[in-house]
Amino acid sequence: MTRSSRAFLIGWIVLLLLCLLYSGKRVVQDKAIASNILGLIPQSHDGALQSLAQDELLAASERSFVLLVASATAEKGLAAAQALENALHDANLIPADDSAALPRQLANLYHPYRQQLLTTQQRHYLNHTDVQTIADAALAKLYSPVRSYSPYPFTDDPFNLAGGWQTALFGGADRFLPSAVPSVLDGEQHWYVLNGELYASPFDQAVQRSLTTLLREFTAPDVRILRSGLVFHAAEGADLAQSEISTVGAGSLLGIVLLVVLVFRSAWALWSILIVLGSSTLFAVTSCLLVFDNLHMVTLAFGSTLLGLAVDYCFHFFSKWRASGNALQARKLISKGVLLSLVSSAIAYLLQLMSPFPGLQQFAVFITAGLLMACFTVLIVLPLVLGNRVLAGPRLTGLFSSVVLPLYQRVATLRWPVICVLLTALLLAVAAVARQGASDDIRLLNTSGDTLLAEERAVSELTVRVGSQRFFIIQGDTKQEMLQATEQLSDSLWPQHKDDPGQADTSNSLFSIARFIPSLEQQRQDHLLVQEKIYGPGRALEILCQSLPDLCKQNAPAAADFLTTLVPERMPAQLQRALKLNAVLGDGFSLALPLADSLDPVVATQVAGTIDAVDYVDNVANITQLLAQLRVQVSALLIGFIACLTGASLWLFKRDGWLLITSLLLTVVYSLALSAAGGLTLFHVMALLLVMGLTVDTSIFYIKLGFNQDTWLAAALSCGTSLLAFGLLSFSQVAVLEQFGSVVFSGLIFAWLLTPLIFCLFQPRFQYAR
Amino acid sequence: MLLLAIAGPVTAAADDDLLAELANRAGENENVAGSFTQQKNIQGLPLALESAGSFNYSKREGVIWHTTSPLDSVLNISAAGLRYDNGEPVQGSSILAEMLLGVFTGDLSQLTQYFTIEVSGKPLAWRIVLAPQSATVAEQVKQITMTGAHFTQRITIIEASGDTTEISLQVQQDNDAEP
Repeated sequence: MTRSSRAFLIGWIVLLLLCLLYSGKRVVQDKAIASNILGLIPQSHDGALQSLAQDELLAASERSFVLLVASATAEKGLAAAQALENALHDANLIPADDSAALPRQLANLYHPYRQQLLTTQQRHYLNHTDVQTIADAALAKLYSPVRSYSPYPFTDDPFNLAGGWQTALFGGADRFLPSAVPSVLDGEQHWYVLNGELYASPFDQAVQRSLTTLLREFTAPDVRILRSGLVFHAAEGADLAQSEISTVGAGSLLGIVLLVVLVFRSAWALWSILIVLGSSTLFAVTSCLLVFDNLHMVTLAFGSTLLGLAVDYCFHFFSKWRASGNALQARKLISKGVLLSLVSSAIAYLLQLMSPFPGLQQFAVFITAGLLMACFTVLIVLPLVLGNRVLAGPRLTGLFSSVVLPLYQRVATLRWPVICVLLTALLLAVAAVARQGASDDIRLLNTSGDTLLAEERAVSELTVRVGSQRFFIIQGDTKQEMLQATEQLSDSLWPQHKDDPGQADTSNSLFSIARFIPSLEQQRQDHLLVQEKIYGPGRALEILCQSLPDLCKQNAPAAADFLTTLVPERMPAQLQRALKLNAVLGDGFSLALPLADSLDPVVATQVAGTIDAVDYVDNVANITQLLAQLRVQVSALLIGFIACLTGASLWLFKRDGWLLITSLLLTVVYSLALSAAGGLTLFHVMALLLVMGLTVDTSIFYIKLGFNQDTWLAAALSCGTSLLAFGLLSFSQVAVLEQFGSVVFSGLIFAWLLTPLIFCLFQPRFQYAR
Repeated sequence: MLLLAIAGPVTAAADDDLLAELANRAGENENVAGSFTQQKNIQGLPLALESAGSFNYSKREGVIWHTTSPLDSVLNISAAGLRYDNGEPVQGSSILAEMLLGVFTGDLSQLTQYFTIEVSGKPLAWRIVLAPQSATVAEQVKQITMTGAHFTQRITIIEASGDTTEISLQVQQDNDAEP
């Protein structure tokens, strides 16, 4: 080895050491491996306001979770719930519950305004009931054995307007039973409700492990726990990604090692491959960390397929090394092919950068950087290290010359029947793809298991959960304008409530600031109504006083002046946080969230369209639409890429260029037809870019190096290792990975089988290449 | 992580027996009717509010509480909640109804989730004190005391606001037959 070669090698080792140090620090110390599955979903917002609103909603809700606990009896369930609550506190997962103070805090807030706050039901009752009946009803309640919730003394609020108002603040409160741990009834079953708020981010893996371990240890045969909250989905997503990485990565590596040992039977070959794979993976991880500042676990899962791709260069190198008997000679033979392959693959992968999916962008950088290092290691480092060593060992000439080549030669003699079969299959495949149509629903990409999704649904049905994917944005120059617009929105969504307030329930109301602080205009109207029906001269209070003379002689409740100080700005910050109102009140805008998430999006959109200040946001529909647009754009890009590739192939390879394009088109269409059952998605189309890269790779090596035992063996080994990686991926429970894996898996098989067939059919010289 | 001991009524073993006997006795009562007098002390009112009327308990339908003096008012107490004779429901009253039904009949098995129960005395001269376990119930009720013999005879309800209600029950009919 010359001095310059030695210096070069040392430089390469130093580079890898620096990569190792940097990556090690970022991963271990800075915890740069992200598991936030939401990071894979693109921002669909039409503007900064929607983005801000979504961020605020997420920030307010992401640490929340709900656990429902039940057992064979109500007593056992209560005991289990209390024990679990204590365990969560002891494990420092949730802060102490201070919600017991909330009713008193609300009572203190609303006390001065008790004569100007009415629910829809109270308003309807006062509007449609004469003052005598109002007084009689109040008297009857007074003599009742018990009264409903009354936050103020009788003399302060004789008609208990405040009790009705404050009870109605919490939608669905009547379904909760006031046991020591609040509970809900599902038939005869008592479910005890634990509302938790994590101290740390739900994507913190230490928090995820701590919570899931605690719940797993707590689960007993007679204790059932239902879970709801982002932390559980995040934990499941992280576990899934880790499992995928282990499965695909380990599977690929094992397959590669077995194939190398079986075929080449050389320790040098094995070590060379491990060096290539190790250096390419390390460089890929470092590049991602430098570009994106973090690395997503799904990228690592995807990136496990790098092993199968990088090893392609090794196999071609080994084949020529064994044939020529010299590593440097082997480099000369394969360098053009490898470089062309690298460029075409890099273009195919880097096109993923155009997608709005951060995960796919990372994947593009990961694979491209990994292939770059793999190419460098194979073409520069390995020849320097291996020098004049010879790769000995039996050559597998038997299989190619006795089986593969004769088979292709025989098929090539049936030229026109084979062409008819291929064309017929092509037409059927195109028809199949057209019939399958497209499927762009973002919900198909959910990574959570069926059990967790079922528990989430059950918790939503039993409790009142406010969704964060569909909501209204209300804008206004002042808070009062926003409050009035919100009230107008509610009236427009449920106009029947005015005439029949009994219909108002959890499923048809909004969570918004207006629910807790009505507009001053509404308060003014309610104050007038209360004075007119209750506190005015000759009204219900005076009638009540006739039956209770003591009431009006001493401590008589009096009409209160209208106060203008109950406004959002005056609500204590602590109370806003406790009620989660900080999520729905922004600067210049407020949000209104449908309770129970049962509002028809079509109706919501129509109603929002009639009110200037209101916009309806449906993130599910928006992202679905975005996916559809991207699918069309990427499809157009694909077609453009094929067109450019056609030109480049014809220019570089002349007539052989048609062989490349034919193989490519057949592989692409066949693999799509086989894999996209259930509808074509953006991810199927993006996977085609990888299929194209792989097919072009194979074709280039056949064109440059000929269809012979060495090239075929290298292609077969490359295909085999990649098949293992992508085949395992096609069984993934993560929809994105499954779609990618299935397209590339079938694409690899077609590329491996069809490319030599096309070459032999249309270019006779390939039938006899040795 | 081990489960803690199962929570339940805070009573001694002998008191558990008394409670169980009262619950059994309550289960035997299919229909009970009688009269009541009620005295309510409201914070801010110097004189107590006195009322009287009749009640009719049916195991299947609950209690019809008919106040006849000083006003005529009917309150239906059932597992579904409290409802006045004009059909108007009392908001958020299902737990109140459950409490009243348990209090009237002496069957407190449904109330162990919401109250700690202190029972003393003998089968024909017993005393039960209920104290709320949850902050939500404590917002409304501070304590309920019941005394009785074969049937509940006296109920004292102290509300969180300081208002108190004392009810005396006189059973006129103890009939196991279906109405």
